[in-house]
Amino acid sequence: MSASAVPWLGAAAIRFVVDLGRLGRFTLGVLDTLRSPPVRVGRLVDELFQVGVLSLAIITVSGLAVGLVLGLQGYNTLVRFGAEESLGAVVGLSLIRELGPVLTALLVTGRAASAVAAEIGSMVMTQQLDGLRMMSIDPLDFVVAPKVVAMIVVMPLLSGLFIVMGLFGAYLVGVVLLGVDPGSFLMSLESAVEFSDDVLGSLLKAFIFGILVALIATYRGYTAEPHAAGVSAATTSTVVVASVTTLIFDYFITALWGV
Amino acid sequence: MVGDPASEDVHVEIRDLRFARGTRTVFRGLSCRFPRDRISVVLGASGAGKSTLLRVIACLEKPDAGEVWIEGRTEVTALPERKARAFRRTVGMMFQSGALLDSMSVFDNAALPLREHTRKSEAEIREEVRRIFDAVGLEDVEGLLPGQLSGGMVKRAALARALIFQPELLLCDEPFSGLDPTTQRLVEDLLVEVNRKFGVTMIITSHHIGSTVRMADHVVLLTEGTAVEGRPEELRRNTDARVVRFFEDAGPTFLDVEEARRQAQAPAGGGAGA
Repeated sequence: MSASAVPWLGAAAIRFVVDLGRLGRFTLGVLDTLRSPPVRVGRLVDELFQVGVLSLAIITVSGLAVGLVLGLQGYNTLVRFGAEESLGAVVGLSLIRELGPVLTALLVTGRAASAVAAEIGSMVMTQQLDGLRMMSIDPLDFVVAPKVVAMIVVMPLLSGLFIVMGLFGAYLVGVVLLGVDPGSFLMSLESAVEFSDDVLGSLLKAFIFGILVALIATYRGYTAEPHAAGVSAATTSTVVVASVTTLIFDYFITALWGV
Repeated sequence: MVGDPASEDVHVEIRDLRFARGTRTVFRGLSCRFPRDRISVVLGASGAGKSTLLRVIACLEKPDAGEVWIEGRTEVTALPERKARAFRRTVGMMFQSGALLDSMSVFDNAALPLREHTRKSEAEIREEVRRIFDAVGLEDVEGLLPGQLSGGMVKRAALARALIFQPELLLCDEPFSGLDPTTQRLVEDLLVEVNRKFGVTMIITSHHIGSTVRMADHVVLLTEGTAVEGRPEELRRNTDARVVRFFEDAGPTFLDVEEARRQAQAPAGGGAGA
């Protein structure tokens, strides 16, 4: 490594630590607003609609497509060993333990989190957050907290939908198109999947991803530079950082808790 | 017309303000005073720190050093965030872009502070908002979103929201920017009318020298990180090199104060959609 890279690496490390500290302070600020009234039910419902309901289509279609492919690939592999009756177990475990929560988090990041970052960034740019401060309204409470709560709530639900649609897709391919016995498909699925380990673990993963994606998106928007390029950078950064963070945390959750 | 701010009732006093943004020094020991119930205009070139000065007064930004005193009693730069939040409720601010929440109707924007901080019924809030809308000349726009308004209407709506708590101090950041000359005159007249009607101390930032001369009781010129202040006529006679240079660069408008004031007496032209 050349000597000139050392200062650059040092500066990058300092920036990272400073950013992490600010994110921590931001998170504490959001938590502080959540434990004190008022509860903004109307704004929360709006955000649930924006983040959750408007993501239904993409989650449904993506889940179905992933299930179809997984069913096909799984069948082609298992049939070589005469184990195609285990298709339900293979597809189910893949979807429930990994693909469901991870792909849902990535899809929500692309569709909703980027929009959240852009929206808050635009509010910074057009001084709307300062306008709120001048009315003695905390933007963390009024703007950020409802978005964070909505994203945390909808992530496990969307992940559940993704998994169900994936299983349905794999069933269509495996049972309807390729002739796997439906009883064997469902029996292998049922016997392989543990509710407490796999299903609850999957929901826990999605919940943690929801927290990460929500905080990264709102933080990036909240700290966006107040110009068009700043908002654009915040949006891009949200997608990149949230996606990579999701994948890294997925490894650690799996390694530490075996989920 | 205001007299010497030193002998008048001072509402806001800035003492030895120092502020840097990154490596750029914005204020280097800026001191000035804003008289009570008057219209003070803060003039300066782009980047002189006009908006920053308002943000410091509003406690939206902390200076590196210096003090901002309100009525000689409250030093706002020393306020912790919770007290700063309470202080801001006593100050109205009209932002350059309007800063209206674009997801809410104009009515909801103006009603928001009342809904958040008072226990007034919806009927009372409606009455209060209508009263302010009448005062600033807003009609038939209650249900519209800010994005559906003309530039002049956005300024009026922003002014209405800033006035909803009847503040004693109103900060207006570039209220004439982005407006055509006719609408600009209408907004000028509106601000003067609001000042007279509500008896509110106004601090307006602007780089429109004509508007400044027409409406200002007191002018603060920001130049080279410091301030030169006085009545418009006093600044005209000021031989300070910084002042002379600023007005030479700005053109002849400022020199003819009496003409500008005569213009101010003339009724503003019509301007639908302002």
